[in-house]
Amino acid sequence: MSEPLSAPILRVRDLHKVFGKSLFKKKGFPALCGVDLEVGRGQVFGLLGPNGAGKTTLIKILLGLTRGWSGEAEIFGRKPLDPLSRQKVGFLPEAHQLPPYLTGRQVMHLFGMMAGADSDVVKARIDPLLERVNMATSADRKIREYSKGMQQRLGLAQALIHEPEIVFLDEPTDGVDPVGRASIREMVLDLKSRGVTVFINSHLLMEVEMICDHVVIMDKGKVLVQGSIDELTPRTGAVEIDLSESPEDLEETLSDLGRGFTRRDSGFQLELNEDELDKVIDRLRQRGLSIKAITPRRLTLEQAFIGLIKEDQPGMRP
Amino acid sequence: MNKNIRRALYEDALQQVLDNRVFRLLVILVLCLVAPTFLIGFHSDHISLLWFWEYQYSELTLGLGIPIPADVRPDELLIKGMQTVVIDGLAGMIGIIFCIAATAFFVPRMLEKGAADTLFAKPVSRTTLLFTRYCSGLLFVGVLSVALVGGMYLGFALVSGYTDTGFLWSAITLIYLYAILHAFSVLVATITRSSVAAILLVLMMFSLSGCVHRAWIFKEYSQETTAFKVLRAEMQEENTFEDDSEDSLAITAITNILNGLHYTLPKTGDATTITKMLREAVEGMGPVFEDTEGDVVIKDDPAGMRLVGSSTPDFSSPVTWVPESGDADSRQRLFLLRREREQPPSESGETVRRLVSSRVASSFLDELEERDERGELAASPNKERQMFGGGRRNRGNQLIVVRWEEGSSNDAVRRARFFFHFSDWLYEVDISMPRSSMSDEGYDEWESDFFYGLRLGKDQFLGPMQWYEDEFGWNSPWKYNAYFSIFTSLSFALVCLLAAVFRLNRYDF
Repeated sequence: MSEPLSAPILRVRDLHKVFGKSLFKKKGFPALCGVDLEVGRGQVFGLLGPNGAGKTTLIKILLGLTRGWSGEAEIFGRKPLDPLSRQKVGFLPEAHQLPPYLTGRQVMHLFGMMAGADSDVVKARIDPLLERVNMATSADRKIREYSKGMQQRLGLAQALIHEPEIVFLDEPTDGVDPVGRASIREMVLDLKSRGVTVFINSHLLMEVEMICDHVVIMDKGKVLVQGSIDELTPRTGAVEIDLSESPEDLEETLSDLGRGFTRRDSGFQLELNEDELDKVIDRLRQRGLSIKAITPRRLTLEQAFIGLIKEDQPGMRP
Repeated sequence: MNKNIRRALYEDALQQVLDNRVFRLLVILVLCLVAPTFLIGFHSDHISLLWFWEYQYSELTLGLGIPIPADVRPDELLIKGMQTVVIDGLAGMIGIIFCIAATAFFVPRMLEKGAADTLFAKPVSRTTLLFTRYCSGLLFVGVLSVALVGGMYLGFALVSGYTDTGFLWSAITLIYLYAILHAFSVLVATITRSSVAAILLVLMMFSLSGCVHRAWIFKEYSQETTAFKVLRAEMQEENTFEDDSEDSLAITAITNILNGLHYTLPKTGDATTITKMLREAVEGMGPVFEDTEGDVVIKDDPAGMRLVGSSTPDFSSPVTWVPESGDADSRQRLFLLRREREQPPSESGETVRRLVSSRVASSFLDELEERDERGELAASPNKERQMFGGGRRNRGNQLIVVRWEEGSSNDAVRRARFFFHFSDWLYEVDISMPRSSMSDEGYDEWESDFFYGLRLGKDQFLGPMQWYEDEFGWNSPWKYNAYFSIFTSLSFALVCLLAAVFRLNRYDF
């Protein structure tokens, strides 16, 4: 569905991973079954799928955290087992634990240097980043004194301290309050504007819809579909028409046009054919009603996601 | 790995150590142990407390009912006692166990879900991160050991005026002992991801290696003693001992298992002996003479004399001691000779009996008696049996001595020739000591001191542990060799670390 990328920074071909396979257990649990994926610069990628779909496994393979896979995978042209492949990578794992013996500032400093950055450069970046995640006042407290939300915000800051070119965020807003979520969304969009590729693994589909421009939906270890949000959320055929006033006999006025009339606060929603829209507009104008907006309805990402998963899992109920 | 990563890993290790509560507790304990060395001054005749109060040793020891031997320096005795109790006992045993317990969680915590994801996603290899955790432990113990040993050294040096550079080696051996145990702890922690399992299994391994080491020493001791009995019987010309017993299959199997375990497990029990040897090396306390082929060791030079030539000679010419001072009587000297006991067949083809000390001494006495008859001697020769070596409580080894005097009655020279044989060798010690050099009592003491320090290498009169300490050395045969002990122990540690790396590199996080 999406166009091929000219210079992908991450490439996966026919990736397979089976867990629990051993000398005594020939048949394990297949977590990935031939995944293909290419990701270019400056994209915000949403990685979606039900529990056990293989999303986290895919990320962990790319970060060298999971081994014993087959197929091809490379990131910045290097194999995931090569530590240098992770030099320009930021990662915020789900339910992460930062070293409790360090302060927030020390975590930022040491993790920045572990990524190969100079001490002075890292020090200069710490305060602005902590400000952005609203952690500046707690920077000199030990991690063990932090709440879950504070750890999550610091986790995001540590993932960005070395100015990575690709960032993997696994449930980045987990445990964060609404204000914090909004600031995380802002940060992701800011990263995108600076050409950083962001990979978001989240169950909050509305959030993904708001910030991602590309989505990969996985299930049972396979990529079901990938593409832009627009591609994955097609028009339903329905339109929403906002009016200046909404007379009671509106449904009767339009009784011979379209299907599924639904009255809304500021107008109505109607399922129309392409040629019916002009007729509806004419009829409304004849009645002297002022049209404020006409919006074609699309599927939400959630609807598209559930629809796809239901297709893949026939027994699944909505 | 660039310098930023190295520095980050070092700082991470340091912070992990400094934040550890047990580490802080141990630092306080170390200060408590070091403090007395600054507060109490040990002097040749008194102890000073806080620089103000002074107590004579006699006041203290009589109060406790413990007399201090006249030939011992009380300050040295007390300082060495303190060093032994603190380093060998507290730090070497209890301290190490504390440190193992305090650092056992370093690896399991790193491998916890969430922590591992964050850390192993950094551009640093798993092997490096594991070694960093291992080094954190070494840093933990290194800081404490250096503070303890260095602090005590400084305290004794400043307040008591006692410097003992060799004592500083204790810090290295504490780290060495911990390094071996910590490597095993890292392996267990990597496999089980549990600090409790790591602590328990390390304690088990520590105890097991200690037991195996002791059992092996007893086995070696009993085997060597059996061999030694034959030599003893031969020395005493009794030839009554027969070693014709044959080990059963079970005994052979147990012996082989014991050998296998001993050579595989780290020799943690050798750490104390190694420290002692390193101290001796620094202080020049090693033997002055060693006949490695024939197993004779001489601990000290005879008083007032020095060895001429190599301390490990081939006996092509007599080993010679001469007076230290150039002004001394040149007739004063001591020779040590060695010859093979096995004799070639006579010209007529008859087998010649092996040399034994009593027969050689008798023929030497005959020669002297002939000289005495000719009036060449100042005093007639006499032959007697004497014991030497083996410590004050033990009977020691037998030697035959022939004594006579030469020169004029005004300027006589005491002469003595001692004969003893051991294994394939017959030894003779020839002494020439002018009467003018020392009194009879002084000479007896001088001679007795020299023979007290002369040991046959395999001294059966020692207990097993003492015997092992005597056998153990830098130049000993491989199984008693200190380098071999260190090499096998460090190899064990290395294998543990490599196995841990192997396991870690196969984890899916």
